[in-house]
Amino acid sequence: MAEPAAQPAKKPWIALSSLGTRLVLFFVVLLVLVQGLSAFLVTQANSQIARETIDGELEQGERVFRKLLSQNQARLEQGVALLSSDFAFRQAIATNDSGTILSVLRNHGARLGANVMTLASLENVVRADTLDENRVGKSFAFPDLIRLAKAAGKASSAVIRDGKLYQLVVVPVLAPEPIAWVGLAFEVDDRVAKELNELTGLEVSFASRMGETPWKLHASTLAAPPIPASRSVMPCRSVKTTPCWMRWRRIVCVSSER
Amino acid sequence: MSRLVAALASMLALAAHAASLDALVKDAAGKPLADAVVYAVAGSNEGRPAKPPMASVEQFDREFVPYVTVVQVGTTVTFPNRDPILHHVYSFSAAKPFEIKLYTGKSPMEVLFDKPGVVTLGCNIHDWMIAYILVVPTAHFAKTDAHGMARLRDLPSGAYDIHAWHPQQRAASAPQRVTLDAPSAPSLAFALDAPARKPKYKPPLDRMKY
Repeated sequence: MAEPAAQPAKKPWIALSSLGTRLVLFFVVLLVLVQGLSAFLVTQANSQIARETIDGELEQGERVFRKLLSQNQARLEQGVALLSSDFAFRQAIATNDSGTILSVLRNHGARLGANVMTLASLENVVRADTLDENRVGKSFAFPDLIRLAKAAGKASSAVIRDGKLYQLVVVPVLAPEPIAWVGLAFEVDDRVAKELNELTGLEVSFASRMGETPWKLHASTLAAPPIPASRSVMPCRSVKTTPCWMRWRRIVCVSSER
Repeated sequence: MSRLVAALASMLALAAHAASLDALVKDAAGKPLADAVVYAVAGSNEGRPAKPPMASVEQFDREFVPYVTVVQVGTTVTFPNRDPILHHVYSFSAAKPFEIKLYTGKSPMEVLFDKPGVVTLGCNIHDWMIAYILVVPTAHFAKTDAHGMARLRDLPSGAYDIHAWHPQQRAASAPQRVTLDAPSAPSLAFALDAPARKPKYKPPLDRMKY
């Protein structure tokens, strides 16, 4: 009869009551907690550092990017200004012969690698356009640039024309005072994005929008470029760094012109 | 000799019933405007004009001198180069396009200005060089001085349209009609919206000269 009474008294094979066991358990739990906490903190710190590094890199990249853009712009402006002061060019423009003018625009534009060449009168009326003859006789689509060039001798801006993105440079044809305005447009395509990518180490995409329309992609170094959400508001001169899938991206406003 | 006497006599005769006219030209801000041209076009036909005297626009110290020249239609103009370097004078203006390729000293060609209008001169190798020739259909013209004053002399009596022009004017001004009698010497005032001239950069002479 003593046997059944002895059964409840039988201790489990892990003796919780033993001091040694309790200590071990305590330290195991503590270790897990400490490890867990440190893992959490390290992850947090790493991600914080990564975020800061990426942010810094993007910021630095943006500075280089902007510098490159402005240098590129200055190079184009200088080239176009030199071109327009070529005597033969001015002489050909002064002939007022539309065939000759179109031909010299093509010839001289090709020297600089321009994609579209336009000649506008001092009254902002298109006199020749190497891409679209229908524009002749209509008013020049970017009068703001003529206004700026009037004051500064040259002007340039990113513009959208027929859905394509161009860097447009406007300079006067001087004989020796202005007799017309010449606009040379250089398309911003994947090649331009690639060049910027090689120099900045950043993936570069160019997108534009008119007012509240969805963003339209013009050029990119990525096969599947991240297009900003159509709703996203992107006021000019503000710079935003946002996570985008597994990448980080920074949207930089290049131009607020049309 | 007899021709000289005749000329003197005709001048005296002209002076007997010739009037003069003063014009003051100011800019939009009311400041006197130099280098403006004032000219009088007779209301009635003046008759066949005599061959106007030659004029010249020189190049000196890498500038055109004078900055503004006014000539009558039919005037021949020479462009002597007084610099030790060459100049290449050209005009693309509708009134008289021409080109005198690199030369120095005597003008290799004379240019006949046979149409009224503004001719803008440039030098192909010196971008800052600029000058104007205003070709007018009359022998009665004058240029304003530093005080904006111009005096037309020896105007035969009659009705005239007095025009004022300046190379920097933004818009042509309306002519003013006057009727001149021998003793009268009216004065007119013109206001032209002409911004100040902005000369282009002219590289300074260095030790190498030019």
